[in-house]
Amino acid sequence: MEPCVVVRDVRKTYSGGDETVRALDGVSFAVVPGEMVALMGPSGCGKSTLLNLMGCVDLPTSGDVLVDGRRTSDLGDDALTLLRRDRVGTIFQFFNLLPALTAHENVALPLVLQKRPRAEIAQRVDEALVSVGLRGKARAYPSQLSGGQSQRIAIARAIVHRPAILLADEPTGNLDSVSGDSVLALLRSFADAGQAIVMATHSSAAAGVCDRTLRMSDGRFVS
Amino acid sequence: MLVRALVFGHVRGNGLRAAVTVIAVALGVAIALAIDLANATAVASFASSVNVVARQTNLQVLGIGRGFSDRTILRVQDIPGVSYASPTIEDSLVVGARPGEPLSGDVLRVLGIDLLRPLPASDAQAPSAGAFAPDPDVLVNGRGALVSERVAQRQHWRRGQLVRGLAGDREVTLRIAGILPAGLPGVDSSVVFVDIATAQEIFQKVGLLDRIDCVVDPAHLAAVQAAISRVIPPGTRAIEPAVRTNEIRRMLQSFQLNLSALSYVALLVGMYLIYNTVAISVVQRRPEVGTLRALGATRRSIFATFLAEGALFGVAGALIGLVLGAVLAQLSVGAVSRTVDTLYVASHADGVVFAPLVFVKAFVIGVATAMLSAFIPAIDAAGTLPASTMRAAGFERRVPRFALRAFGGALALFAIAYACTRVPAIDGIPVFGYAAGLALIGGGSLLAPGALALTVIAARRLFSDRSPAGRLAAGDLGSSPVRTSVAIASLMTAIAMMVSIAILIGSFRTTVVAWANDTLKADLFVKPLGLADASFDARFSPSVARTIARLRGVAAVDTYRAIDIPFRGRITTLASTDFSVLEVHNNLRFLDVRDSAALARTLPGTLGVLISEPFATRFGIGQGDEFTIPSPSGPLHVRVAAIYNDYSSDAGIVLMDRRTYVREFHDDSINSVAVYARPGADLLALRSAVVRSVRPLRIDAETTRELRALVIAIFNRTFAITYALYIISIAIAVLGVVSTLFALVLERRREIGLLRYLGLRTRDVRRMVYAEAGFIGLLGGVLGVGIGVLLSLLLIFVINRQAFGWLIELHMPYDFLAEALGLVIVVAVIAGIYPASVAARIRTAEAVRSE
Repeated sequence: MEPCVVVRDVRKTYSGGDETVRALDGVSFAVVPGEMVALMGPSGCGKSTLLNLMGCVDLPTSGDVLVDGRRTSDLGDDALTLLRRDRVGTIFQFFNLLPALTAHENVALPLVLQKRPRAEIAQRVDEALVSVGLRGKARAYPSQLSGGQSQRIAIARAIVHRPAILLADEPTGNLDSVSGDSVLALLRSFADAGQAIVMATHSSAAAGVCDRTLRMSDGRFVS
Repeated sequence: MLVRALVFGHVRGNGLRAAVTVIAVALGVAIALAIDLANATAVASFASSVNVVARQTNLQVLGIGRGFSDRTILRVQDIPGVSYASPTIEDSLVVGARPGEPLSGDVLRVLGIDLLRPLPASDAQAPSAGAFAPDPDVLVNGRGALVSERVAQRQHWRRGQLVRGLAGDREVTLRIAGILPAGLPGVDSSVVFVDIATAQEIFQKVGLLDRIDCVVDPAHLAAVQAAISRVIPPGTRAIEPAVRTNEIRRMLQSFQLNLSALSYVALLVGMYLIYNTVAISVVQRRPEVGTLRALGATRRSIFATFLAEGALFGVAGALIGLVLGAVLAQLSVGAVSRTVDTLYVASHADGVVFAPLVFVKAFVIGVATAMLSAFIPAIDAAGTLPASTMRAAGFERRVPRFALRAFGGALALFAIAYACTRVPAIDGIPVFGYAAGLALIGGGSLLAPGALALTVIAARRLFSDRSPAGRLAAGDLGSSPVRTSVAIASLMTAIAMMVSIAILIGSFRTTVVAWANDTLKADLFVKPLGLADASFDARFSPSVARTIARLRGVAAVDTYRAIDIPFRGRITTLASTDFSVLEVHNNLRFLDVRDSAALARTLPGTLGVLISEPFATRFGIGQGDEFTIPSPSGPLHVRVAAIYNDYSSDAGIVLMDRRTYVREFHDDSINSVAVYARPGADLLALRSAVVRSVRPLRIDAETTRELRALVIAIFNRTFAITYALYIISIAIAVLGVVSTLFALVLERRREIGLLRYLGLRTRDVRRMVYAEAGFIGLLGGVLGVGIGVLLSLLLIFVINRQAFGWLIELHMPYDFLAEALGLVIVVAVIAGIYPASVAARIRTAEAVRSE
C-alpha cells in the first residue's frame, strides 16, 4: 500500500539572532492509509514541528516530506496552501472553531474554500456531522457547545473534505476523560475505515488506541 | 499606577492604532484652530486698525458716506474732558493695477492724520514721532507718505522715491518720506500715512473728515460722549471703538460661524476614532481589568483610568494640533481674509494674530472631545466584574439587541432633527439648525448597526458558495457590530458632510449664476482699475458717467454707489442706483412684484426703497414697512416698496434712487457704472472708447461675460477653504477605517491563522480584508450619501436661510453622488491595504496554537 505521508531524513533548524535551535534532527517515517500513529515525547521534543511539516505550514531545512506523493519543498506558498486545503485535515487542542459561524458553517469551511457546489457541501457536512454524532447541533454556535462537542465538530471539519492524512495535535488535551475517550474512539473508527491519522499527544491512553507509537526526544525518534 | 498598568504598556504595544488616533485628534484640533485663528485675525486686524494713530483712543466720531465737515473737530476738541482729538481721513489707494486684470491692484489703506501734531504722551512710538525723522516740509507740502516696511519691500519703494497710485479714478503721486519699521503697533502691511491735508486733496475730500479719534477722560466717558453727540453733524455718531468692532464682528458672524461649524466636523469624525480606539483597548484588557477589580480597584478608578487614556490621546493630539494649526492658519488666514475683504469689509489682515485664548480654547476642546469620546468605553470598563476573564468578544456580545435599539434611537433623533428645523434663529444664529444637523448625524450613525446586520445577512447568502473571502468578511464584520458600526458611522459623517456641502455649493452656484444672468443685464461695467473687491470704497467722479453717456453707441448708463451704514447694531449697505434705468432694463429680480416697471416709475426721487432679501430676513422687515436710517440730512424715514433677490451681500442692502441719495447724503460720487449699448454696437470697440473717453481719469471696463466669470471666480474662491476642510474630514474617517480593520485583523489573528491552515491562500486573506473594507466603505457611503442629502436640505432651507437670509434653489448633482459613493468604496479598500498585508503575514502555525 502506498504511504500517504513520507518523512525522509528531515532536519529542521530555527535561527533566532546568534542562536540556532535544532528542532528535528534526521527524522524518517511513513504512514499508510488506515494507520493511526502516535507521536509522544516531552514538550519541545519536536512533535509540533513534525506536525507542521506534515501539515504543509512549514518546510524542512533538509530532507523530504511527501504528502500524498508530492514533495512539499518543491511547492510555493499557494501550492502548499492548496495541498493543505485538499489533502490534509487538522484537529487542534483548543478546537479553533470560528465563533461567528454555526457548527454547520464551521464544518463546511474546507468545502467552501474548495468552492464546492452548495448541494454537495450540504450533503457532505451532513454526513460528517452524522459521523461525529452531532447532527442535531448543526445550527449551534461554538459558544453553545461543550468542550467534547466542540472537538467533535472540529473532527467533522477535519474529515469533511476526505483528506489523505488527518493530523491531531493533543486532541484530548483540553477535554475531560469521558469526552477524551469518546473522541479517541471516534478517531479510531475513522482509522479503521481507512483514514491515516498522526496524533501528537502526552497521553498514554491516547497512544494506546494507536497502531504504533513513535517516541521523540531532542528532535529524534527514540526506541 | 492603574494608568501605568492598563494604559501606557498597552499604548506602547499598539503603536499604530495610538498613532492613528493621535493624528486624528491633531488634525481635528489643527483645523479648528486654523479657522478660529483666521476668523480672529479678520476681526482683530480691523480692531487694531482703529488704534493706529493713538493707542489710547477711547471714543471715535464716525461719519457715513463721503464724510463730514472738518470744522467739527473745532467743536469736539473744545468739549471739556476731551484731551486729544485727531482728525482722520481713511481711504484706499490702489497701486500696481493693470487694465483688464481685476485682481491686479494692491490696495493700500491710506490714513490721513495731522502728522505734525504731537501725540498723547504715552504714544511715543506712533508714526509721527521723531525716530524716523522724516522731513516735515515733504510731509506737509510735498505729498510725503510714510509707509510700512512691508509695503516698501513688497512694492520695492525707497525713501525719497515718487510713487503713483489710483485714488478712485484719479492717478495721484506721493513721495516716500519715510519707512516705518516692522513691528510698530497697528502698522500692518498695507498702511500708508499721509498728512491730513494731502489726504483731503488726493481723495477729493477737501473740508471733510471720515472720523475723529478722541482720547477722553475715561471717568466721564458717557458724559463726554453725550456732549460730543450734541455738537456733531447729523449722520455722524460718537462711539467707543469696540462698538464698531462689534458691529463688524456681527456682520461677519454668520460667515465665521458657518466656517467654524464646518471646521469642527473634523473633530467630530475624530471622536468616532477615539471611541473605537478606547473601546478596543477596553475589550483587549478585560482580563487585566477583572484582575484589578478582584484586587480591590474601584469602578470609579477603572472609569478614571480609561478616561485618562482618552485624555492622553487628547493631550498628545492637541499639542501636535496646536503646532500644525498655527502653520495651517498662515494658509487659511489668507483665504478667509480675502473672502472677508471681497464680501464684507476691508479687513487688512496682516499675518496671523496669535491670540493665546484661541490656542487655549483649541487645546481644551481637543482634550475634552477625546475624553468625551472615551466616556462610554470607560463606563463599560468600569462595569467589568471582578476576576472576569471575558475575552475580546465580551463587549460585543453584551449588545444582542444593539441594532434594534440603535434603530429606535435613530428614529427618535430624526424626529428631534425635524422639530429643530421648525424653531427660528436666535439673534440671527441658527442654533437649532445646527442642533438639527447634529441630530441628523447622530441618527445616521445609529442606522449603521441595522444596515450592517442586513448587509451581513445578504452578503452571507450572496457569497455562500461563490467567494469564501466575501463570506468570511461578512461573518467577521457581523461578529463585531459595535466597532464596525462606529467605523461606518465615522465614514458616514465625513461623507455626509462632503455630500451636503457639495450639494449646497452646487445649488448655490447654480442659483448665483442664474441670478447673475438675470441681473447683470448691462453690456459693460465700468469699475475701478485693478479691483474686484467691493469692500474697498474706490469712487469715481460723476463726470465719468456723464462722459460715457454721451458716447456714440451708448443707450443708457446706470450709476451705482454703496456706503456702509450702521443699522440696529449691525453694519449694512445703503446703495443707490438710477431707478429710471430699472424701469427700462428691469435688472433686479423682485419677490412678489408683478409689474416692476410700474413700480420703478413710482420711486425716483422718493423715500421709497427696495431692500434685499437678506436684509428683509435679517431685520424682519417686509414690503410696506417703514424704518429709519441715519443720513447727513438727519434721520431718514424710508418705506419698503419691494424686496429683491440678492446674493452679493448677506449683510443686506437698502437700495434707494440716486437722486434721493445725492440729495440726502450730499454725495454725488459713484462706485461703478453700468453701460447699456445700443443694439448692434461693437462691445470691444465701445469698451476702448469708454476707457479712452474719461482720460486722464483711469478706469476699467468689463463685459457682462467677464463680470459673470468674475462673480463665479469670487464664488469659487469663497468656498475653496470648504473643500479643504471636508477633504481633511474624510482623511480622518479613512484613518478610522484603517484603525478598525487593523483591530479586526489583530483580534482575528488566530482565526485567520486557522483559515490559512484550512487552505485559505494569502491572496484570499488579503481579499477578505479588502472585502471587509469594501463593506465598511459601501455602508458608510450609502448612509453618508443619504444623510448628506438630508443635511443639504437642512443647510439650504434652514441654516442658510436663517444665517444669511437668502433662498437657494436646490439642485441635486446625481452624478456627483454616484461618484462619491464609488470613491468612498475605493478609498476604503485602499485603507485596507496595510491591514491586509498584516493579515497576510500572520504565521499560520503560531496563530492557531496560541490560546
